Amino acid sequence: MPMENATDSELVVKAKAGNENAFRQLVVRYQKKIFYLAYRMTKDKDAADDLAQETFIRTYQALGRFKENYPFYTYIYRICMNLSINYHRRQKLTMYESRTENWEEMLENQGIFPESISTAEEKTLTKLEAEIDRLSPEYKAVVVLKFYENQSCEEIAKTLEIPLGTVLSRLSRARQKLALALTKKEAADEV
Amino acid sequence: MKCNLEWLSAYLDGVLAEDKRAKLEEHLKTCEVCTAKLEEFARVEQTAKKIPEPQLSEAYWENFANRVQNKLTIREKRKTSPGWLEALKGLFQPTTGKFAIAGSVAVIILLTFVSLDQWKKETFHPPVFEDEKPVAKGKADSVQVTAKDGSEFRRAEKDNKAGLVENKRLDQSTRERETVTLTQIPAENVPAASAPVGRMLVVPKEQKSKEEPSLAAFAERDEGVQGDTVIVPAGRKAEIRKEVATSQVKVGTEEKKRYIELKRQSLARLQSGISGKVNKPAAPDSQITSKGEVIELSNMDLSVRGDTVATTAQPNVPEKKNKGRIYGQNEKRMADDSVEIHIPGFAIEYETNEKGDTIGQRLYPFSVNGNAALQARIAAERRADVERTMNDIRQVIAENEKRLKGKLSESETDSLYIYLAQHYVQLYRFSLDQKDWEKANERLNDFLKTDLSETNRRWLLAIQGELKQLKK
Repeated sequence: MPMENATDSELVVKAKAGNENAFRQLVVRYQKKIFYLAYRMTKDKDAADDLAQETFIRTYQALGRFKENYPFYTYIYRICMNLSINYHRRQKLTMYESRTENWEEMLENQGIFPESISTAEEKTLTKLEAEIDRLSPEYKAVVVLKFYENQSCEEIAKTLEIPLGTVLSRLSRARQKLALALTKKEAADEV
Repeated sequence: MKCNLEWLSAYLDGVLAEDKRAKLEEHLKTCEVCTAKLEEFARVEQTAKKIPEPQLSEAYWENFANRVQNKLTIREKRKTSPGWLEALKGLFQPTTGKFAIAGSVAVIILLTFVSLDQWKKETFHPPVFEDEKPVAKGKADSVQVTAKDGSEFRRAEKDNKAGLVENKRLDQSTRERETVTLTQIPAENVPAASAPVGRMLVVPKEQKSKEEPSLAAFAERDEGVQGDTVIVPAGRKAEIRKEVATSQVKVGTEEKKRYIELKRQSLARLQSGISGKVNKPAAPDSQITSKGEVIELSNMDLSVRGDTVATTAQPNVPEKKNKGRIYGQNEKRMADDSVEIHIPGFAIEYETNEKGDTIGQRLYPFSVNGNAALQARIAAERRADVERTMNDIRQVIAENEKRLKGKLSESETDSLYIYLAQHYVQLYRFSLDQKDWEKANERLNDFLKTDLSETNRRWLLAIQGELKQLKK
């Protein structure tokens, strides 16, 4: 059977037995998902690239301990999320280092002068994006999995290894905070 | 029941227990606050999904698995590699002459120079080569080799001696920095040589003659790269450490300087490509970004440790009307004695209509003079911006004209007149269209014919005066 059609658990079994191509197939299958997951957590392309690579390396190194009947994506998402949350904690210390030192990067990221050319909707999106970024990593993790990965609350609880109640309360609080930011912004626009 | 936001959130996710759900649904029928909140919560999620994400090239995704594999190979090797003493023995076949390893007590100091990679906070991924064989003895002074991830390198072949050879990345388009790695050449494949090769230096127990290169000489002869190895006898450890520390700082500074110089050169090339000029280097106080924008460097401190800082004499400006004036931090006195405001790294562009009235101003993060492509882009943006503003004004006018037809109190009507009059004038200010002027004048006359309070009449007359002034 060609590798492309094999299920995750079939590939995992092969990879465990030392089949490099099987693991490679898993990487190809999940690379985009994992990269964008890390990107949404960090909002930094380079960091997301590093985290995504690291996720697969850790996954490979821990393959021996992986149970085949457990869903592979939950497992790999968890590794990625834990790495991202750790990254945030480390990042906190250096957070106030200016990122705009690199002019080219700044221009590339922001376009010529965003305030003067963006539409109202773009402004709202930027605002919401910043607000999500400002959430603490634990809350952000729940929001990212819910909003972008469309995971159910039970799945999120499994991925992050936290109780379902915690997922629900974090989601509720994050929503309140984001909704507040959104309505505040709109009110300001109307004035 | 009381309003419960946690229930609302859970309800939205469909995980609220049956009994609670019934209660909440009952509550929602009467509670406007909760209904609004529920809508808000849903909207947050919908909006968040629209946030754009970066698009990466196909090549990036195609190469992703290779990079994972390379990293894995390196880490697995690191795990299973023999102890440092064995590695040292295998790596270093003692050769004749003064650089033979003196005794077994040797200390390795790994000179990890402050390289560009660290400076740019990027991670260094050494390439993995299929072949670890020596380069063939040929006439060319280098051969091309391919790493496992497909990137191509040029391998120096100048010495053909045991030790390490350089691999220089050929494809510089994906990474700006130069990647240099080393490949081990086994001793049995090449004739024994007496001089040190590659980037490895063995420091003798004592420095007997001046001909023996010191560590400082080594650092000066070559810029160090990651992975350079220096073998030092235990007796001279402290002395050498000190030397290493100073040379590290020195090399780091040199690298940084070189990087800045390279950057300047590449930006100058880029500029000549964009503006069509041939090989005209960028002015020393400006840089051109990859998008063609000019960054004025006069306000950016690019000096590095070790730079000689020269102070330039101020241009001889005749003292005139501004004599005695204290200039602010962002102000610059020009040759004609006028004052320009300079916000570091930004340029102010004044927006004017066709008649030259200033209708707004904006900041650009660089100077745009002399860059036609950029000026065209800014002009297009500005046109679009003006268009958008005019559309907004037209919309406001249409809405309020409609409101005027409804039932309104006297004071409401009066303030609407003024509001509308101001918008008509503003529209003309942007469009300079004769039709808009006529329409504005017509409406103002209509408003003035109505029964207005004295204050409001004067106000409207003032607006009309402004409109007439604009036409002139």
